Amino acid sequence: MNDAAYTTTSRALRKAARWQIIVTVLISGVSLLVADVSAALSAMAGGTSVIVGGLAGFAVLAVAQRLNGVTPTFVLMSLLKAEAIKVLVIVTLLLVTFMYYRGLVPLFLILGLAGSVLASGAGLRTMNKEDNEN
Amino acid sequence: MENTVQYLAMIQAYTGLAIGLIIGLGAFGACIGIGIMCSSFLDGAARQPEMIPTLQGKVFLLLGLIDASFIIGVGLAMMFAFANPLLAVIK
Repeated sequence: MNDAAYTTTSRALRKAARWQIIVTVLISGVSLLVADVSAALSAMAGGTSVIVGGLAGFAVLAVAQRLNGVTPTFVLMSLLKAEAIKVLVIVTLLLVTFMYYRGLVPLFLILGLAGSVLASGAGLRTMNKEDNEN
Repeated sequence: MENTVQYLAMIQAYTGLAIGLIIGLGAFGACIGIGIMCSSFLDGAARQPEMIPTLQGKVFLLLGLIDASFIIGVGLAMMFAFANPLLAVIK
């Protein structure tokens, strides 16, 4: 990945990750108030799996683009590879959570997961702001 | 007892079908969305190659949003597979 692309993408991803963490903690706190500690931990597990997946995807994107170059085809291939790894990591983490966490409250896990996934769109705001400044 | 086993089998069978539909339809929608976005990305990159760095960040974030429904669907499907709330009716 060239420097401009890396900086822009990493800044947007950092912004998105920050919002994801905020939303996950918020949902976790509400779960703690509404239900119990297990529900809060479940919501936290759902949100964390999405955040970790996003970071893994970004790491793969950076490595793949450094190896492949910056032609549109290679950029697209790297993006799709990164997305595949992201989905794979999220599904694996969810599977591990469902299999090994005995006190899991599935509804709150889904809430944490959904909140975190939808909050990832917040990174777009950063990119739009940068576009308007240029 | 026999009725209970039949109900259990029926709930499990319908849940299996539902899991397949949730994951399959979610993947179908996500694939169409990703296809449209990738074609637009290639179109934009061919017209203005200098925009590739800007576009790729947006594409990466939008891929996540397009996949959101699929990932939420997978989470729901796992819930039905590992901790099916519908089985509580039998107990």
